[in-house]
Amino acid sequence: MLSRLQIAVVILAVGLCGCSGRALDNAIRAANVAGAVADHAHAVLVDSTREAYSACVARETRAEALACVDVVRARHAPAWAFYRGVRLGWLQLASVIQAALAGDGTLSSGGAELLASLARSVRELEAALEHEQVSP
Amino acid sequence: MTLLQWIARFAEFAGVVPAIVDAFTEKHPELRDAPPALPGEAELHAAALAAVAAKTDYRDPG
Repeated sequence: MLSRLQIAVVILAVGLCGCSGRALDNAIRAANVAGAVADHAHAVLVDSTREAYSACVARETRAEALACVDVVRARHAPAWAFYRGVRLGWLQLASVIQAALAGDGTLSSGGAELLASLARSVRELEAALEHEQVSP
Repeated sequence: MTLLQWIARFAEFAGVVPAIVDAFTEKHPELRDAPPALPGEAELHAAALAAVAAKTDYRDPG
């Protein structure tokens, strides 16, 4: 499960983007932090989902196993949806960063909004993981 | 000690992934790879269904 500290670090990184150093470097730092948090979330989700499915396969009857698989999928679906949201946000931010790197090094006007949106998505992912009690 | 150094120290103490600390300390950061797409929810679900289908010792009637 993502720690409060990790989320705080992401939020702080996003906040720093607007107040110090080169905006592009700080946007890259924020994207890298969010990416590391997303990597961790993905590993947690994969492990917990696999573990839950394995318990389903071990049920006594096939009918019980299939019903269990449906329950597990439904229980983990919100966290997976939020993970996909974080990944999409990261890809959008990375696209803006790469465009800036290929150009004059200036972030487009949408960069700040993408950063804020990515920070929100990370917080939603954390809340989903906590709500669903998806932990290794 | 600067604010960022304090953050790095606490992050290391809490066992946060080194990549997060590196992101703050790197002078000229390079954009990392995208977060993984696979395995995703659909792949894990398909694997679970396949495992159920392959198991032969269930006790279902008939």
